[in-house]
Amino acid sequence: MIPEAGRGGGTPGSQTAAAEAEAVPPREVYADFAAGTPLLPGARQALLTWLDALPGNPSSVHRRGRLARRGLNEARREVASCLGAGAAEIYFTSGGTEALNWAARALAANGRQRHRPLILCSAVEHQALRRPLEALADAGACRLQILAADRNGCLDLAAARPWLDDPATGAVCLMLVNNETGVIQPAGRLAALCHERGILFLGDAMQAAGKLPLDLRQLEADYLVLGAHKFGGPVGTGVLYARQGAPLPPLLYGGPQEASRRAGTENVAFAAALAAALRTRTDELAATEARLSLLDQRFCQGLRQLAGCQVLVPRQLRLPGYISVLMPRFDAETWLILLDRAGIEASAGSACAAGALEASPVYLAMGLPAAQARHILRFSFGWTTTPEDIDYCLQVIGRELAKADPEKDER
Amino acid sequence: MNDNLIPSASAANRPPIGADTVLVAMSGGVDSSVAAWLLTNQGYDCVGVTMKLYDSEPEPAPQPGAKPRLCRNNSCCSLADIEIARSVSGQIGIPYYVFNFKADFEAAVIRPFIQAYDQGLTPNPCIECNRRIKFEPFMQKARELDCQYVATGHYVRREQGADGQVYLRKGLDPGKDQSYVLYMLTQAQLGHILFPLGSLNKAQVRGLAREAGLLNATKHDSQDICFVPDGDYVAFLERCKGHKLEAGQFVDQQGRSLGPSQGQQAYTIGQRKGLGIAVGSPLYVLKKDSQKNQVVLGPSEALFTRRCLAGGLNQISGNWRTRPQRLLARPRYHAAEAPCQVEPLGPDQVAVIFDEPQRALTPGQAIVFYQDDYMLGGGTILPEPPDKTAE
Repeated sequence: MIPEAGRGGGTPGSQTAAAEAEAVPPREVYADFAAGTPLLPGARQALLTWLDALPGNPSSVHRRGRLARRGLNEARREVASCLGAGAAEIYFTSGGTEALNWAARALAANGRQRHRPLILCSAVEHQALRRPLEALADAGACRLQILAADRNGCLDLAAARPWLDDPATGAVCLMLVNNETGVIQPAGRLAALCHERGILFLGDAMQAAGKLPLDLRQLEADYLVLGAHKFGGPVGTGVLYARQGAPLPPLLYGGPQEASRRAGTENVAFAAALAAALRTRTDELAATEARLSLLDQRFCQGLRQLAGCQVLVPRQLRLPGYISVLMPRFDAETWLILLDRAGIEASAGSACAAGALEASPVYLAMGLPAAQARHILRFSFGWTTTPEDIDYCLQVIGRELAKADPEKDER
Repeated sequence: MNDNLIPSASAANRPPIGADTVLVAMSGGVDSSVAAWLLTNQGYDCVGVTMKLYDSEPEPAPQPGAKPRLCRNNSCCSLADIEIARSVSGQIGIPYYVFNFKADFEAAVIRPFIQAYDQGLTPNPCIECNRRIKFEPFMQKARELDCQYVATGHYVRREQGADGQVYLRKGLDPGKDQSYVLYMLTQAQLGHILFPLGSLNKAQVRGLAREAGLLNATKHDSQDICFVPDGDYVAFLERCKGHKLEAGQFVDQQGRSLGPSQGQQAYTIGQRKGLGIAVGSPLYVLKKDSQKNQVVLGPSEALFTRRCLAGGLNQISGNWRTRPQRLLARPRYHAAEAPCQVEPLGPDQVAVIFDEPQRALTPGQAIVFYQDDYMLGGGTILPEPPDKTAE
């Protein structure tokens, strides 16, 4: 039913491209560490050990119940020790989104003035925090003020100061590292300013945990949020740190688990895997950073050789390995597919429920026009990335750019 | 350990981009799914794509009624259909992506749809979508992705002529033939489009879907305009405008008022029911005047005309744009083809004179020309010039 004529009649241009495609041996490169990371062997071991040890409900009195409780307590202590916190300040959740929703409710319920506190939140926060805050504001539980970011996506501290001095301000939220750009935010300084004023500070450490030194004896945060799948643990488990004495109304009512604040049988296996992963990444933090710095440099240098590719944020402002690139020629939608078809898994902006890409609010908050925001790809590398992976990404991008401009073909 | 669970995605196993790669437009319906399955079985390297054209999903809003939704569920862009297309692609074993064409669709289809109604026309948004979205910029994406072809599940046959031209013939299933909605395709586009279902009938397509075990084998066909799935286009226009249509007048053929109307947009040429006018003999909508917001009513006989003008022409084959000739014309989607004389009047206008008077020739609708089962192209029925009444 397909006419024979016209089949296989590729233009000379595309044949050349096919030949070039064969010149680069195919490879699989995972470049989406900001979205999710490979499971670390230690985390996998902890996960399987505890899954096999079940049934073991930490609330049970018997031997395996005691064993499970011990495992949970050890995981809690391990996480606390990685963060410089106390074990009683660590609450296990089903992930970062839950922890952020929980913290948002805590902030809305407890302002300095007790009634509809003003909550400040940066313009580049993740929707897992932004949306619950908006919902709380819509429901009349708090007021919300968005704090502007500069053109690098970094919170503008000077612009934030008047808001900090507003007596209505009850809480401030800021991510430690932005998920799209890797930009390191001035969270430490902002937390100190809040502390001086008796304002609660929530730090979203989803992208920072295991990558940036975190010590809650230094960082004056009242709440901190972690998610295991960003640092080599499984998806579906996270942590809410709440400083001793910081208000934390129960999230789920029921049994006495998590200090009666989050009822439900604890997931020991996931908590243990999270703790093991956080321990590994924390111990290897300096070495990983050094390695990723070199890979980052290699990638950015390579991109500079490719006409039209522009790294969005200078290296000194961001974590190594998070590289947002303004891409020439095609929009990010097309680039992602071209890369995917070549075995490279990268990312772009945010996707709607259907999976269609939308211009990222982070890039828009940085003042980029929507038309440009649709051309930004995010490569995020991690501890398994090799120099060969970096070179392959560069080769594939170069190969696609070298092809004949399809705009000029026919028609 | 999970090699058996996860289909192999090794880059080494993947066919190289470039050779006979087909971008298949998948709606989640059975037709486009079978199209993808057939092409994959024929050895093409297929990539499944759904075009996200508009937001149909109401988000759970903290405050009820915060923002009126333009669209409802159960159309081709609903999440459920996208998930079906995604799952079917997984069953076939082809990659699947979603393209965001929302801005293009809003500008090229929805806004002109509203505008056309305001101008007293009865638009055909599916045709506008085919013209402005389904093939462009979809084919532009295909070029960017090194896909030689795009494919759709339309029931139409593509034939490569010895003269180098591509010809389009009606789908073999007379009940499903979709050549009418493809009259705007150009030769340059047709060189790169595959229609694998053209020689099949619907029962065969469902049979293939069952044979392949596709999960949507029994899914019912979509109806209505995709962004107005409940068929209530008046409510849609009002949601978009944010207010009710401006009330107008019903008038008789002499211009005498017969009473108030809901607004000319709410009526279709040939309509009898729902006018809310009680006169001795049955009255039909004959004409709409958007400037005066008047709807002209009259007897059934007055609906029949032999002549209309068509513009916005596209000629796929033949030379009817330049030489008068006898053809068959279909003045609306589900109308029978009627013999007519086509007379070129200018570079982008023809007059169509039917042998027999046709009922309710409606400005804004597509008129498509045929010779035997070849679809030759077509255009849009133009409003009559005001100084002249139809024959």
